[in-house]
Amino acid sequence: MLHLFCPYCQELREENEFHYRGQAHIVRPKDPESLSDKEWGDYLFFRNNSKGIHHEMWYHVSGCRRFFNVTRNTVTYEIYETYKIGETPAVTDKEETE
Amino acid sequence: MSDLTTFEFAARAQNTQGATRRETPLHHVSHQNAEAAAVVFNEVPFCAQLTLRGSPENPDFLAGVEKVLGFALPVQPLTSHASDSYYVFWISPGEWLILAENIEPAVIEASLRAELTGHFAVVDVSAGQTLMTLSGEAVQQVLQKSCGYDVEASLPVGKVVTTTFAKATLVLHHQAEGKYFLIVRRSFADYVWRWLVDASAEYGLTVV
Amino acid sequence: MSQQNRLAQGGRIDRNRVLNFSFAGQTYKGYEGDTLASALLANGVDVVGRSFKYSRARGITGHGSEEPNGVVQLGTGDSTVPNVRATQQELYSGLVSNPVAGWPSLQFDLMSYLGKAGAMMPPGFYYKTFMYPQKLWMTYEHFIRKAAGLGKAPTAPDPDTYDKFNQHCDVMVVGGGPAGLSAAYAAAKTGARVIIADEQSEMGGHLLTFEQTINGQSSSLWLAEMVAELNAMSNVKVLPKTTVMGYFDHNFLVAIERRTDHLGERAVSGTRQRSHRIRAKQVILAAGAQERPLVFANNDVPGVMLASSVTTYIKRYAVVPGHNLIVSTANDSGYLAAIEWSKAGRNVVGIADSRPHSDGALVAEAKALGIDVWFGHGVMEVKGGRRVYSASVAAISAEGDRIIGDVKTYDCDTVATSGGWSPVVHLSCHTGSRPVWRDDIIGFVPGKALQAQHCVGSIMGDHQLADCVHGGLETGSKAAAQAGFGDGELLMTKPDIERLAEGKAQALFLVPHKKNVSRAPKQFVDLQNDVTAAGIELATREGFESIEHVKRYTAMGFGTDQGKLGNVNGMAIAARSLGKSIEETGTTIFRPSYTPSTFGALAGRDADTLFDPERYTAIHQWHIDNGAVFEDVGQWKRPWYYPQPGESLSEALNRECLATRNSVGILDASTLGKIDIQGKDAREFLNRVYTNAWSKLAIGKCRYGLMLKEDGMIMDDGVTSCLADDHFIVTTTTGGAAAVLEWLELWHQTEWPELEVYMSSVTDHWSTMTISGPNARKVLAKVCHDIDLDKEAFKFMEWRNGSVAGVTARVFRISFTGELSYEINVSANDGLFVWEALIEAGKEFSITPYGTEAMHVLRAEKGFIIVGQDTDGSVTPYDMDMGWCVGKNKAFSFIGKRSFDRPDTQKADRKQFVGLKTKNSDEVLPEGAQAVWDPKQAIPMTMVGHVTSSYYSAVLGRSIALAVIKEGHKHKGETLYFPLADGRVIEAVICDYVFYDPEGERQNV
Ligand SMILES: [Zn+2]
Repeated sequence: MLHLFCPYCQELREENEFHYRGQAHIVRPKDPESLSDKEWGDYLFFRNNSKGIHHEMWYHVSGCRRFFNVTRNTVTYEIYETYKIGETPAVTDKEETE
Repeated sequence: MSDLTTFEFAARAQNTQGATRRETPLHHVSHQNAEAAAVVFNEVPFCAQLTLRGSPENPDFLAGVEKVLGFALPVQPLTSHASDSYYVFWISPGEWLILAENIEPAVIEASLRAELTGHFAVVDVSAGQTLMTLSGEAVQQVLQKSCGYDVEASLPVGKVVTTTFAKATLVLHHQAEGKYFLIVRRSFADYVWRWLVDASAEYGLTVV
Repeated sequence: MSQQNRLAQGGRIDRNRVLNFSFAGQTYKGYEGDTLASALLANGVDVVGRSFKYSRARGITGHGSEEPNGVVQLGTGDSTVPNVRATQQELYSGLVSNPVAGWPSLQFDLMSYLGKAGAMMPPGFYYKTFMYPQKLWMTYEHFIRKAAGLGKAPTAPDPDTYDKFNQHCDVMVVGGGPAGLSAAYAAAKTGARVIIADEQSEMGGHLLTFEQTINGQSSSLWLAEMVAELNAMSNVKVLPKTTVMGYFDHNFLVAIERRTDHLGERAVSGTRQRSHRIRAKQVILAAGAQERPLVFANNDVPGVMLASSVTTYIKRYAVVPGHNLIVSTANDSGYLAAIEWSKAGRNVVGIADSRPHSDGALVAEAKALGIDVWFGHGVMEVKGGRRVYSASVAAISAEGDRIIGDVKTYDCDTVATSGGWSPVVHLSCHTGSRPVWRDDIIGFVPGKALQAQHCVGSIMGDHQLADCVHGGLETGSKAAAQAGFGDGELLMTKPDIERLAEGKAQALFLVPHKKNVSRAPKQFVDLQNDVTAAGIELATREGFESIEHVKRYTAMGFGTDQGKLGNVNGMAIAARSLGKSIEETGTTIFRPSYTPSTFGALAGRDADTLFDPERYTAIHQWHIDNGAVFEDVGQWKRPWYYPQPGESLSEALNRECLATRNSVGILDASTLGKIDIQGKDAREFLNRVYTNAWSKLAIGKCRYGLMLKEDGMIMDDGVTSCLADDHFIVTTTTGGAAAVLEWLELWHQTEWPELEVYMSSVTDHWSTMTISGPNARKVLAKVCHDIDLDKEAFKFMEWRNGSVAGVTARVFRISFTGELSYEINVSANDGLFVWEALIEAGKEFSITPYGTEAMHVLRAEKGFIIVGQDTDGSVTPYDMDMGWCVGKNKAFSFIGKRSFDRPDTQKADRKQFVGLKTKNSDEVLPEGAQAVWDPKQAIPMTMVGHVTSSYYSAVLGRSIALAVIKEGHKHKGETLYFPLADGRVIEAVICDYVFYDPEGERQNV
């Protein structure tokens, strides 16, 4: 069971207080009608399947009911950081590959 | 105008002397399974409970609320403040739960709306949740059976957390040494109560 | 003879407390402090089971969780537990146990059974059985299923209780031997919160059977003081009888404490087992090491035991499990068995030591006792069926790979072997860390720590007591410092402990035989799964080079044993056969659970009525009192229908529906989700998340809305009402309430934080009761005097503030039945009172409470959809013929809109929402039935849609159904067929989905 640091509650909480909400930093296109079917399909359906660094969104459902982001290693489940919506991650794939 | 509206309400008298009747979610509860019970339970009936939303970065909002409550909103995560009239719990950034035992929710809501301008929200949730208190020698053990949160070391007096309790979610507040507030959504109150009865069985439970 | 193998003195048992117990129907006596295994050995019970594949007699081999043979079915009836290790089960008075090996009796011979199918199950049996023609599987399935489980599950509910405890600590210590105790002590002295768990009934580990001097005193004194001191510290939890069964992510461990298993079959009171869910800042693994047997011919015959187990039975339980002992060892520690055996006054035939020489202290002690030591020798084979009667001792080469001299056979009844010590790397493996082979200690040690984890003592191959205690103290204070307690400096002095002189151990796994492996008598590697050295060699010959494949081919390390005794020997034999080193071959990984865990301990109190929250409305008690049958809707308990005495479901349903259509019904709709939305951008927010347009919804008005996912599919629906220009109340489906609020928060928080809206759930605050039917207004008028109920003053799809039965109320004139309806919302504290007032006021109109089933029928008669029943996440508003709900001219491209133009949503043959009338009007289609155009076509038929809702409609006097059918809208009037599993084919005509009052006149009266 993961132990996640909620950046809003400012402390570590057990995984069962959270909902996993998939890949982070997917921005809704400003003008969906101007997108081709392929572009819209990419936004709708296609997600990374990273082995290693993954930026993902979690929801503190049994807590402050805030969404936030997590940088997690999908192999080791190590969590490098959690950060608020709108913030940029400090740990990214490039740094990790050294 | 239709004649229906002039229809006399004959059944009115069947209300106990015209009065209405209110019930808390756990009004039916009574329990005593031990002489010297190590877990003590109480449901505090009919507290006013209001959700207050607004920006902690908005000085007008903070000032307006302070004027009504008589103290500043606790803006640090997981903190609370209590006065003679109110408890206020931080719930989320920009969200607080106001609790009062002796003031009508409509009165609190009206005072807040009178003072506040701009972007804010006040929602009466008084009947939507209930306040339980839990204390006694074995309160720590019962909470450890129920909550994954580190109640023993991470919840000093005054702190408030929203967390899981068995498979429910509630607001847990360490109100005084060895005494906890559990604020539970109405529809989950019975489940939480039955869980507490079960978890307390080995220590003894009494309702006051 | 009773307890013929019990010594008159010694052991950690209470000879004054005699306990009667039974095994396989025989009764015996033991003492308090015994395990079932020690008591069986004391009584001279040799055979405790039969092996599952070859059906060979098996006896007790070990003394702890590594025991592969002494696995019993404990207890009787409902509280029976399979797969209990006799070596771990403390004896209690009246204990009843039976062998569990999948076969009916200890005497049963499998060979005669499988004789005609083949001489034996070869290695690769599982593999081949799954891979080759199914008929072979059918032949063996019965036996496999029986054998694989090793034991029988109880058939009735478990009468005992189990619970869970959430624990948090700074330092978690796994293992209560000298290293673990020292680590816990050092950590606790810093003030850190410490938990120490050990699977045995007493803390002490190796010190329970082995004595050495610590600070000039006996180590047993040191142990007693250490345990007493830890127990006295308020920041320490000492958990004996507690197995850490799994080590999970982020230092989360699950430990199962057996609280009453040592007292009796049933817990007299309290919790039988408690599962501790531990979140630790730092973890110290001090789980020790398990002795590894040597593999030789017929090494499974009862009487062949681990050397350390022989020592343990003598020292701890005062049981000498035989009379004439031969030890076969590749290291010094095996000598201890011979020393204790000799001290107990029984005969040691000799010690076969595979090494050329050793100057170790134990070797010297054995020699001083006059025991024969045969260096350069090993036990090559034993003879015996139900007990060893002789052992063949051979001179072997220095490399340990061949016989180089004569073979001598000695009479004996016990052979104790030691091939070395395998660190207990299981928990470290659970974290995903691969163990690392170390030639110097001849074993795998935990690999790189992936979490805040430390290892100390025998688990790192450090077997000397001094290393365990000193290392434990250092590791304990280091871990505490990393958890924020102390600076890592020791707060105590390290005790003086002499290092024992030790000869270098030899890496010997398989003792060579005169015949090669494939021809020698069976040399068992994994006793529980009957895996032999020959089987492993066969696997490598057949091309399985990865150790993970060898495992699956041979079944080595399967089952409840999880390879505790056999794995390292198996890896070594595979490596040799492949011509590789053990390091290159590697090891398989261990997974939770470390030892078998009861389902009870995993479930805890989350069972029966506490399994999941049951949510009740404020009116719940009234429903119970009035005979409601309940239905689960999400976690809610909703009245399904209210049968009167003697009434069937359909009779009650017809009555409730007709009462509503003809007079007035009342429904508890409190479970509907309600979300309060405030803020100046509330309208804009609603415009974005709903298909409908909200800009013009006036105060006092309500509107039905559809919510889509971004893929254009219907997600939820409900009525939204405008309370003020910046204040709305949204209703959701009962099941969707929480998900919809999360969905709205998601868009607000992550995409449109600039919109000034706040959303709060008010589902539980309001009791909602719907009165519906031609007399609804008359009923409401009796209890509501401050709202003008005139049909023009208070129109359909409007709401009003007022009071009902003297209680402040919000009344919505909306309808899900097609009848004149009012939805009355009051504070839930007043809910039951107002409900009772409505029932009272409705008496003269025979007001009838109706449940969810009637609600479903009434809305289906009107063709109103239920999201999640008529929709399934794959239908758009257009598929449901609800284009009227879609605001086409909204400025913002609302969620899901762009997807209406996807090729998938545009394709011609989408399933569309229609009504169905069966040809036989009494026949009710099953929900989910698949539609075909031609029932005579060959199977598999082309299916063109399915029934989503289907009922008997009392008001229409016929069955009705709703369905989604490919291009259904243009096929109205055509006949579809529904072939059912029972062979019937139901014929139905596609029709409009509104069956009743198509003009919608009844709700507008
Ligand atoms: Zn939070």
